[in-house]
Amino acid sequence: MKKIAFASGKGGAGKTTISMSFHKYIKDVSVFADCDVDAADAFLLLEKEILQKEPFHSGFKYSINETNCIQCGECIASCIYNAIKKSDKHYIDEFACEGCGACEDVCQCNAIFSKSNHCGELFIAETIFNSRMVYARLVPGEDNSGKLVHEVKKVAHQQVLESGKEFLIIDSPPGIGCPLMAAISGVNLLVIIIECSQSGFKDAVRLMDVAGKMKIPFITVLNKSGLNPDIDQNIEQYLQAEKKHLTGKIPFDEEFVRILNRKELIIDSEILSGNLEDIFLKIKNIITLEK
Amino acid sequence: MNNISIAFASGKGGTGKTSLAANFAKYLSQDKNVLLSDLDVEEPNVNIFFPDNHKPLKSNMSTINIPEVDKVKCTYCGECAKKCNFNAIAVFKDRISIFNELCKGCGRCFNVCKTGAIHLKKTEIGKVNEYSNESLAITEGVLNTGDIHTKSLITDVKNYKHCEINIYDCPPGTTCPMVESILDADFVVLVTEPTPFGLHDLSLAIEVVQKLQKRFGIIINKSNDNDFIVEEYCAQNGFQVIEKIPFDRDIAKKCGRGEFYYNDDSYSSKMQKIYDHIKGAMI
Amino acid sequence: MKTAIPSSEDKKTVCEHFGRARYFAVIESGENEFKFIDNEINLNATQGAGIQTSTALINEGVTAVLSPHIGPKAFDVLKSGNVKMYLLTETDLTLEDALKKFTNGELSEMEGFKK
Repeated sequence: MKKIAFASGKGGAGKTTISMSFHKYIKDVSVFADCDVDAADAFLLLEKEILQKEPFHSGFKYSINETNCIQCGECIASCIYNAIKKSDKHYIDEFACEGCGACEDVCQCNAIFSKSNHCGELFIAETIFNSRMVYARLVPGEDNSGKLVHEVKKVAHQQVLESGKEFLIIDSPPGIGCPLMAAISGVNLLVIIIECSQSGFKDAVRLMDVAGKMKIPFITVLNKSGLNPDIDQNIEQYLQAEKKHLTGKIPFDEEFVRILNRKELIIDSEILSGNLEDIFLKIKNIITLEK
Repeated sequence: MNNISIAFASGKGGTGKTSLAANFAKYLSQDKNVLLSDLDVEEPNVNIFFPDNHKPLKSNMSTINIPEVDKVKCTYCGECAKKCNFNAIAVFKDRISIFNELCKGCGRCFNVCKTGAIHLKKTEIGKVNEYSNESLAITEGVLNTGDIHTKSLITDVKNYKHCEINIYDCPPGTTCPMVESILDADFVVLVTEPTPFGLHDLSLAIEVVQKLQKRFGIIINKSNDNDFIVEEYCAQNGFQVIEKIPFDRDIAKKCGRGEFYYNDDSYSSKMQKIYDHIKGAMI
Repeated sequence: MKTAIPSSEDKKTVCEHFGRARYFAVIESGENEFKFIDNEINLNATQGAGIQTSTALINEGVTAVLSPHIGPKAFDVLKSGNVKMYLLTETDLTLEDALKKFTNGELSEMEGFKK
């Protein structure tokens, strides 16, 4: 099995749009894992039917057992988040609770207990082109974590093995923190989508630094090029100077937005598909050569 | 009506929530005492609408309590590390390290240390800046680069609220920072765009505000021929679209330059309508 | 020398996530069988899994770790515990092959992360 991740450092650079199209390009031999759990929206376009759904837990939340509680209120001062409140009885506001457990230490009557925190659901689904995808949805108010990304990746990995496919395509979360590292760890190839803007470039450079440290082979694709030729030129000069591989450029085109509003993939667009298929073919050739 | 808080939120970035909040605040401040708070502390940009305010009137440090260890008193028993639910403390052999970026300042380690080796030290996570633009007061939270204590800073920015009308510009998304921002709001304005993705993000945001049992209303920004995408959904579920702000090249230009549009005729009546709606909902 | 490798649930292949490996395969030099340390406690951590995994390995007396990736915080802990870290660049290796690469001197030491 070969794993290929798409990442950009910055949100909104187009990595989901591009990775979904890449999935369609090799749909018969790949599984798609949406690890951008904060903003998992690939399913809006790809999903045909949910095959399996399971709850996902992470961290802790605390509650008060009313039978044991003597309403002494000792715990209130221990909570710096002001999560312990009183109406007629004391209770813990689950939205304010950070799960630290300081209240548990001061409770004299064992009335405070922890439970693992239900933070979302993980889905295995069939896509509109009959491939498999794995994604997760967070309970509102919960955050993505390395743990959740790891879980999505693990289940997707299993799907690749079970269905006898060759590739796992990973749509990574933004940023360069733990969720991103969990997404790109152990991949055979990372495709860095660089948005041709000042901030897109800055974030991509940070990402290239992380990938370099992790010794992950990567290539770059410029997206939304042509809007600011001077920025494009800066980026290309940088890549050349740093000897980073530039695989292709996707020009800015309003067709992008129109296609998405029709809930279609950019590879389906007559205007955009030619250039995109050239880039995808190159990516496929590169990953086939990676050990 | 005294001291109400109105939060402007959206399921995802790029809906125009900040420009709407700024225009609404500026409009109301013509005859009311208004505070606009920028709670999008990782990317605060309410300020671009108030370019005259380069320097804050006051800049206050925002802190959380992070443990420090007295290595003479520490017996390396490991109790603090065991009790830390955030895994921010590593104890092994005769070493102890604290990872500030994982610490959430709860103080549990301090409480459980039997030898008094831990003391809590105020550590800066960012700033709360105060500005004023004529009759409008503005506060903004600015998180230090690389810091992750977003929630603590949002809470802190709200400690500065003092006006008759407090308007929050919330962080995008539906994760923890957004929830923290609307937790004490009396009314939540959800700003959306008429696209399939906008609708999806809106439905997630509605899930949050309903869970928190907040009063809310929807504004369609960049309204165009596709409004039905949002309107049909709202009609089916009994949600109210308070107002629509049309997609207009002039408005887009003004927003991009950080200029107001509230005083254009058709828009000031829209601002008034939004306010009347919220006032009506409060009774 | 005591060497540890993050292991998947099957106890046969290398796990690519250091802090969230289900087990650690540990072996003393001179021995020929892996002993497995259970790391389940860190599987459920929202954050800091790598840090606590590292302290557990140090307390176990581990002196070398072979892994496809180690996060910056875990890296710091292991380093301060004088544990040497070696990079596994190939994916989907078996534990045996990973160890063989190490004993053959094919692995290079990991670099730290810039703060």
